[in-house]
Amino acid sequence: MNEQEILSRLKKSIERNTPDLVDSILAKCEKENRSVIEMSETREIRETGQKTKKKRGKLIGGLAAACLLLAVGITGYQQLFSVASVVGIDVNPSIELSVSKNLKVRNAEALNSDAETILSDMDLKGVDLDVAVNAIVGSMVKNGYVDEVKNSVLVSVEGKDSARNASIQEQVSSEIDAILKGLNVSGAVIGQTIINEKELQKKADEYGISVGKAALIQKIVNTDVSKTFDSLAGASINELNLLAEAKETTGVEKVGNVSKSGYIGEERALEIAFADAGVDQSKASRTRIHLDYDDGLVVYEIEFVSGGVEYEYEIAAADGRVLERKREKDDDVAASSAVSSGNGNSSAISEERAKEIALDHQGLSASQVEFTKIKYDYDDGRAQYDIDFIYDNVEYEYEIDAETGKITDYDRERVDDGWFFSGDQNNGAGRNNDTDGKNTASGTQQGNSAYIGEERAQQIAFADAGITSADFAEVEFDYDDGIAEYSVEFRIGNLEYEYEIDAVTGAILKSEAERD
Amino acid sequence: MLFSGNENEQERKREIEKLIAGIASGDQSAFEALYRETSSSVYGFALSLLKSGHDAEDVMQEVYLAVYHKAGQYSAQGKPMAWILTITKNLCLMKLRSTKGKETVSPEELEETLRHEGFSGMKEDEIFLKGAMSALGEEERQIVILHAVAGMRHREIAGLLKMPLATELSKYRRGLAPLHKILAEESR
Repeated sequence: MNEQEILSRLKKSIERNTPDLVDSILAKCEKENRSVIEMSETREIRETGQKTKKKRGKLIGGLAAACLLLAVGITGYQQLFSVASVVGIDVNPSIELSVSKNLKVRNAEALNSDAETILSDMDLKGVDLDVAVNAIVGSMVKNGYVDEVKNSVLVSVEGKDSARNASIQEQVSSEIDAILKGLNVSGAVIGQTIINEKELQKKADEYGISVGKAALIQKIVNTDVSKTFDSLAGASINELNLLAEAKETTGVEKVGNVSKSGYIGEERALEIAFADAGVDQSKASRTRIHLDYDDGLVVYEIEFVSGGVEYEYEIAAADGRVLERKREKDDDVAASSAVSSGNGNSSAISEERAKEIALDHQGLSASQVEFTKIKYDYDDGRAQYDIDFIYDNVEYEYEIDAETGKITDYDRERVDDGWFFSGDQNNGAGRNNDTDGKNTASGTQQGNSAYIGEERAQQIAFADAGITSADFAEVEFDYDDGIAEYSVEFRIGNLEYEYEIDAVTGAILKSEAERD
Repeated sequence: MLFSGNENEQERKREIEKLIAGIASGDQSAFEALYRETSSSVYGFALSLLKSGHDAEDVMQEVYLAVYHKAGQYSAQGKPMAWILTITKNLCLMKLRSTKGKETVSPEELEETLRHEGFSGMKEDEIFLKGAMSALGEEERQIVILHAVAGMRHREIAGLLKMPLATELSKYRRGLAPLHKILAEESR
């Protein structure tokens, strides 16, 4: 037994013994408030501030003592009949059953309109918990909320006693599993006990979901940091169950298998991706597929490498639609074959057209450049292309709207090690070694004649943008990755420009223009 | 990962301060939430001072009444738990003073008292807590419980109990040994 175990044992023992006095204290405070206000009001007419305060304190003390007796008297009664645990049942209908110590339902609450349908003609007060669960689950199946396609039921138990929570959860989960089997539905029950309900209650209120669902989402977010609570709040229990399985989320107990019959399946998803890429499945390497949830949809994420190109696909699991395709030069492959073209897609602007738009913008032709990334992405209800290419040691990155063909963002950056050969050797070495950060740099070297100066940096940026003045401009000296540079930001109309100018050579390291 | 514990702690303190502000503005749900968040720390600390479940429960009532009424006077300084536990300490001391006549009890009497003192939880917890209460010295008891239940840092506990950090740490170490023994025997 180590220190942590001793501490946690002590903590648990005390937590389990902590009496719940909240209602009695609140009742008392309310009562007190009323009498204190009345009495102090009359007194304040006669007395001055300080004295009033003193007397009021005494008065509260007296009342508190009186109430204390009362409260202790009530506690015994409360313990038997008050709510000891809350059992949440989520499918889409979300129902919360408040249960007393002897497992009788004190209250059944519908948390959404579907739940109201389920509970409409049921009176569950005073009924045994297992009887209530039976009635609720039976009604959910009858009303079509649980079937072979969406077969997940979430059981969440919250309460002060964690051991008790766990046993109730287990009991209710196996009860539900048995009920579903009896109705010829192979269900998937996810069970959990809830600890930090206060925090979760806030989230639940914010998104209008049950505490149980909030707890499940939180657990998934905890195991997959790329997910946000927000992005999962709209998912169904079945989708969350699938995701929890894919992400190997911990802290939930499972009975039965979650249904995937509403989806095309991994095999079909792979077929679609390979066909779209025009790649022979048997010739691809490092093929990976996993299920995920993105933008409100269950998707298959697929990755594979073929011919020195890395492919990434996102396929809608429900209908096999290609939501995202990405081709990128594979860094692990020495052979630098250019990224090849794939099939078209349903957007107004084809991939070829998007490439032309980007090239035209720079006055270049396809034969002059090397494409390093072509990505089609359907995100937030908008489709766009990300197109990257290299020309003359500069990498250009474009974002093009797939519906309108408009350039929504572009960026160019000198391919690294370019600066290394520019300027004289001393400067190069000095910059390379100094990783101290911007403070020393700007403090001691700002006026250094080795640098071109802020004014010159701004001129270079303005000249590149083809302007002589801007609505707003700001130049800052910065040290980025060991390179001294000026960052120049300016604005003309609704166009925002950002440049990074090498402080020694005056070379444009990066330029970016973005429309507001 | 290195700082996550620290951040959570800060987050929790801010959260508790928000609840105190809520109570000051008359929000009942804030009071309930504060109770849920802090009651086991208050109870544990009171228990370590009073060695009696009944007395600890009585003091707890008074503590939360005081919190309810004084919430408006609390000035947020990032130390809400220290504030609540200081109230607890003062009320416990008052309680001890008022029952001082009964303070000098023989071990047999103490055992007798403890047997009748109400613990509402499970049997094994009750035995463990009673054992812990009698096996540890007063300050050791307070320190171990504040660290284990209230999650306070040793520096904060030293401040609350007004003792040097080194003293607090050695008392903490001394307090763990008998607990280790009790639990080792229990698992046999």
